[in-house]
Amino acid sequence: MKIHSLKTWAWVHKWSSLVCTVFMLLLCLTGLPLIFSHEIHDFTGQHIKTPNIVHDGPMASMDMLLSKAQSQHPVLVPLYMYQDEDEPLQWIVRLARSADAGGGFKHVVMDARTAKVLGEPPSEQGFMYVMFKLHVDLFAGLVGMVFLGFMGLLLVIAIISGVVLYTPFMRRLAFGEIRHHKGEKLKNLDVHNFLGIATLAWALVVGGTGIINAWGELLVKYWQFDQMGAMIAPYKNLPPPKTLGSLQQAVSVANALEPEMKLGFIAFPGTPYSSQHHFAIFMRGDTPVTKRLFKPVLVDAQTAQLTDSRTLPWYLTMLLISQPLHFGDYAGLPLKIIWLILDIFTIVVLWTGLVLWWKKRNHYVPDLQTRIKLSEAY
Amino acid sequence: MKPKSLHQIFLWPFVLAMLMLFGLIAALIEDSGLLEQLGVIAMVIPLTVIFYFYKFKKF
Repeated sequence: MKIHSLKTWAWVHKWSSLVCTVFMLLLCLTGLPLIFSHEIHDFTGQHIKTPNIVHDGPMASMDMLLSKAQSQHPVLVPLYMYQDEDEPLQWIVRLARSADAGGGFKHVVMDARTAKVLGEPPSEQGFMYVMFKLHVDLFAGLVGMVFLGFMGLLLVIAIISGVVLYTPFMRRLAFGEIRHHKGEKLKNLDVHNFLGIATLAWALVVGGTGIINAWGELLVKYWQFDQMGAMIAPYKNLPPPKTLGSLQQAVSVANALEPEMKLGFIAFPGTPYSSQHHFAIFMRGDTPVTKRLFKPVLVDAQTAQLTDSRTLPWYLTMLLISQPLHFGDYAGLPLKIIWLILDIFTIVVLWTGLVLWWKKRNHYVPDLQTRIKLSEAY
Repeated sequence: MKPKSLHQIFLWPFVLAMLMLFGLIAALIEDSGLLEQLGVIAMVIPLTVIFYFYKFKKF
């Protein structure tokens, strides 16, 4: 590789890394407890378990479940109704002051068999909430998400430029060679190069899916404009309904339309995933991959008649598939432990990179060719 | 040491990256089956290689 080209890559690696490193360190650190959020919720007693009862009758109707949840908070409106993957015999209703509220949520957890209220986990508070918000949007909403997406993009650029720069430094070194006894600087450089290249695929996948997730809300907004707009076109200029029809009937319509699919979650009228006039019933598949992919069925919230149903576009399919690959929550505890170790390795790569830059910043820097020969550049 | 070729430099990183990608995808497409277990094993190999090279490998 020509020296001019190498200099350019070195400049790209230095500045893309420097700009995103502090944020990436924050994301790696806040990501650590998030990997184990289920276990931490269990440990702190925030996870509400389904009681072990004998129940031979049918499941409670969706109308009864909704009515029970609303009776807990009569002044609030329902936003979503969904299930925790680990608790298939529960339904959770999220409520807020208005359908487009960005906060002030309440979550009512109910037994899907009896519609008995099992409890209300604390919302928007505690250590895990702070970790989550710092990780997702820095407490800055959509602006924070888009910003972190850009930081993720810089990370991907830093990784790619790092791979290019790996070549000249490894010409005379064996793979994985760490020069433990030749000074702190060379050791840091070798650890940075070795861990960086050995965790390359994982870092690119988690970084790339992180960008997709960070910009996910923009993708959802585009979907609303692109597909939802077309689906609800006949309702344009109609006033929102004053009273809602039967939710159970709406769910039955969705089940009849997609008999091979399962009920995933319900978005109530006025929420970002629905319209003012519809229950959006999101059906899902049953295999490890298709259970993450939803198909919206729009049912008129007054008449419980089917309005429209379309398969998700490719960009939302990409978003939904990218989520487990970012969270590492799809193969039990072993995968979570692997995620933990790889996260720690990434912290080491970021930290050694930062230390190498910090120690070198005021030193005389010979030309790049010499630095490569000395293995002192990065 | 004689300067290494591009092929020699990237052989190990390529193998580790392929194992990691296989593991990530295999564990995603099957729940609690052989493929998931193979996926987890494929991801443990790069971690073992890192640990071995850092702690034990002599050059």
